[in-house]
Amino acid sequence: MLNGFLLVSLILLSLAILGSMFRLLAGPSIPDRIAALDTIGILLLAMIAVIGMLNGTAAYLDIILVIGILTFIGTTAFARYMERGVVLESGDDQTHR
Amino acid sequence: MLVLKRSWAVIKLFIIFNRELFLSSIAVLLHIVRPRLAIRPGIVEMKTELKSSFEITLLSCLICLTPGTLTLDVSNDGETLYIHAMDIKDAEELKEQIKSTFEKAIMEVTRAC
Amino acid sequence: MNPETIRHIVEFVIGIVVLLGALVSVISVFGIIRLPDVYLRSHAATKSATLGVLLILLGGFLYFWIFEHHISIKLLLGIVFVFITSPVAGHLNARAAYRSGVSLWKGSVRDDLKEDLKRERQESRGV
Repeated sequence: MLNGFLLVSLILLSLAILGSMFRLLAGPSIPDRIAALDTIGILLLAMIAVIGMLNGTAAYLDIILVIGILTFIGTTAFARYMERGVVLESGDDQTHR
Repeated sequence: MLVLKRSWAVIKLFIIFNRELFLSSIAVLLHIVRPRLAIRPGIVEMKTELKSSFEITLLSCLICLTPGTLTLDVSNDGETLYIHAMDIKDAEELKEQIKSTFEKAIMEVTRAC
Repeated sequence: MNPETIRHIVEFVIGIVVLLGALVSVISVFGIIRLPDVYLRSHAATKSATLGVLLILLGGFLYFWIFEHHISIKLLLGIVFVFITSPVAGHLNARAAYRSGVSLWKGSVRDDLKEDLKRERQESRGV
């Protein structure tokens, strides 16, 4: 019975990823695409938790942490790039602004 | 005694936050599935009484976490928060609600004495 | 009650929690597709990150705790991590959008930030 629930939620989650893929391709501005990418990362994290339950193994749980961290770093880097035009600032840039 | 009081305040903040998260999630979900969009979004400025940067960070994180409100910007002196709200029925009411729930609970955590 | 019945009930509860999380995610992605501007979409995105993923990871935590007898610190850490990072990411994204000039939806009723941002920019240019 649990497997049925888990399969249905896997299908729902993949539909959700498909939906955010639409926004990623069609988004009129760059922040739209960044938000869609962030959502895809978070949904992937949830999907891996469901797959881990479906297989009854705790081996996939490391991937959850790694994907969470990578999604956050990616979003932060994109947002900084949008705002300042650079991802990593060196110290000399401060004096010119 | 102080530790006890402070940890009770933390638990209270957690409970208030969970309640707000669920209530406003359901409100936003209902807005999304409604056939015609009946929302009036807008940006509201809010003066906060919190002083230290830790308190302001905590407040803006909590505002971002509850769906329906999003901190857009903080002024340089850290006194004004600009909040994007999904449905403004009454701006004063919204501000009053944030002040009476989150701000009060955060003050109880950081300024217990 | 015999253990078999209890096991069925627990399976049912975990299944409902996970399914509810997936449903919340789907509805909020529907919001991402449907809503008219970046800031409103960002509301929907932050919600799927918090409530949907919270429910699914909570279901996973209960599953590993009850059936595998293994309290998973990694899942708890994942919940805490999502809770800390998703508002920060939403705030950064919306702020970058506003500062780079993405306009609000035409139905917006109020914009207090516009004047203040203009004044701040003039001051920083003058100095």
